[in-house]
Order: sequence, then C-alpha cells, then structure tokens
Amino acid sequence: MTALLRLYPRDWRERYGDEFLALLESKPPDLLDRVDIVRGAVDARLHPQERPAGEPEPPPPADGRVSDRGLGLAIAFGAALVVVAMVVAINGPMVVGEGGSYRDGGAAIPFLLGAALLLAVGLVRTATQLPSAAEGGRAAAVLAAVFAVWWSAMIWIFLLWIVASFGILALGVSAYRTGTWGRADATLVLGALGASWLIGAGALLGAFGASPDAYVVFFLLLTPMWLGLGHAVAKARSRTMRRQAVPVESGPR
Amino acid sequence: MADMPEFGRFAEPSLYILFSLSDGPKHGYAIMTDVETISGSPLGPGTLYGALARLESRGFIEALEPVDRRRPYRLTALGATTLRAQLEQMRGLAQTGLARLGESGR
Repeated sequence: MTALLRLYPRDWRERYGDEFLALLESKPPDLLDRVDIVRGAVDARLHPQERPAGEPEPPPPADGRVSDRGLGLAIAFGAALVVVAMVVAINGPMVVGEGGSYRDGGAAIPFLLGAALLLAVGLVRTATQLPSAAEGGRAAAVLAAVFAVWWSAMIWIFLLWIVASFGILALGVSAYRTGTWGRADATLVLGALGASWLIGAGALLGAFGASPDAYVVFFLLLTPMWLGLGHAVAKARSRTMRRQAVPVESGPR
Repeated sequence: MADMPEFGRFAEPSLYILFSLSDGPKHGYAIMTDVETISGSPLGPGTLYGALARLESRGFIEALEPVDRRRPYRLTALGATTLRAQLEQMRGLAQTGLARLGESGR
C-alpha cells in the first residue's frame, strides 16, 4: 500500500499520507480502488494547487504558465496516443482496391495528430528552456515541431518526417550539450529516433516487403521519444538551476 | 454544484462529503462508508481524498487533530451555507419536476 502512496507528490503525502494509509488499512483496496487511487495520484500531481488553506504552497512557475511537471506529463501521454493509434490502425476495416486488399488505418490519424501536437509542444517548450546562445537548437525545435504536426496529418509523405527528425536530432544535441537535457532523456529521445530510422530505411529499401507490420514497429519504437521529451521538459528547470549554482565548464558528463 | 467551481469530477463526491459531515465530524473511513450508504455507490479512496483536499482548500471543511492516525473533518460555516444552498436548489428542482409530472397526469 505504501507503493500506491508513493504515486502521490511528496507534499501531498506529508499532509494526507498517514490518514490515507490508515484508511487503506481499515479497508484494503480492491482492483477498482487501486485504479481510483492511481487516478487520484494523477490528479494530485496535475493540480498541486488543491491543498488546504494555510498550508505552504509550492513556488508558482516563474513565467506564470502551466507548470513544467504537468506539461511533461501531458507530453509523455503522447506515447499512449501513439499506442492507441496503432491499435486502431491494425484493427481498421479491410478495403479492396485496385492493388489488392489492405487495412484502412485512417481512423488512427486523429490520435497521431494529438501525439504530434504534444510532441510539438514539448519541442517548443524545450526551445524556450535552452540558453539564449543556443539559437540553432531553437530554430531546429520550431522546424521539427512544424514538420512533425504536418506529417501527422499527411502520414504518407515520409519526407516530412525526415525533416522533422533531423530537427529533433539537432535540438537533442543542442539540449544535451548545453545541459538542458540529461543523458538518460537524450538517450531515450535520440535512441528512439535512431531505431525508427533503421526501420524506416529498411522499409524504403524493401526489406519488409509490403508488410504493414513495419509501420507499426516504426511507430512503437518512436514512443520512448515522448517519454524522454516529457521527462526532460519536467526536469529542465531544476537542471538549469543546478547548473547555475555550480558552474560547469564543459557539457554534462 | 453551482457554488463549487472547478470541482470537475469531484463535484458530486464533494456534495456527498458535505452531506455526510452535516451531522458531525467524521474521519476518512467513516465518510467513505457513510457516503456509500447515502448514495448507494462506493466512494474510492483516491476520489475521497481528491474531494477532501478541494473542500479543505476552499474552506468548506476543516481538519481536526488526528486520533490514532485518523484525522476527523468537520463542516465549516461556509461549508454548511454551501450545502444548504445546494439542498435548497435540489428541493426546488424536485418540487418543479413533481409539479410538472402532476400537471401532465403521469
């Protein structure tokens, strides 16, 4: 039960943790209760302002906008949208055309568009988190954001994704070199990108024939990119503050 | 709940919690069982504490000193006023609905 409690933010646990555990000891949670607790934990993380009057409040975001933690969670949710899109696509209706029968995955496009929009938000937020000197990284982020959203609406034009992915690569390198992203986040984002390139190159060279499975694998390999980007956005401010507190001469180790 | 803006999915559970506390302070488990009796539906622990946090942050309820790790909550004057307004509104709605049913002869 303490594992369930750890899903909540620390300040929430400090305020409600004891009585919450006492409640769970009085009534051990069943499966539905556990789902409800997870929903409650997500809510507590997304709405940290919902705390008792008189309790100390966390410092608001410096720019007055939505907190980076909430934004990071939303961006990471893009990975789930991609998975949903793939499930929808592989269960699409069979269509008989001139070139034979194929599965119509058009219903997946709205989910991919949602995921691409979240990706774009993450890229643009990262651009604003970069040091002022990283102009190239910022330009790459904007380019990647525009092309990623464009591609999600016209998924058959692979060139759009190639441009977007080079933009993400340039942004990732810039963010890592400036210490805005940690090694783990950069590895997740750029590793997912690299893996998708391998599959994409294989598909273009005909290594997978006409199998639609290659597309599903391509998209699933990309999902860690949303997770890494979301985590990087959520942590960038604290990384920047640490970096400013302890000057580092070179890039992150 | 008209007087509880931004409660979202916690609006209905919050009303039940205010209802439950209207006859005296209760701790989380007692509220949970009481709400199940009132509404006929179980109240999950995550929803209970999401609603409690909202009600407390807006001053509708207040926490008392814990007893054996169980912290009782009680209605504040603002919470009692809000609950009364909600119940009056529901009574008005019920009376109007019943009157209309009577007029239509159903």
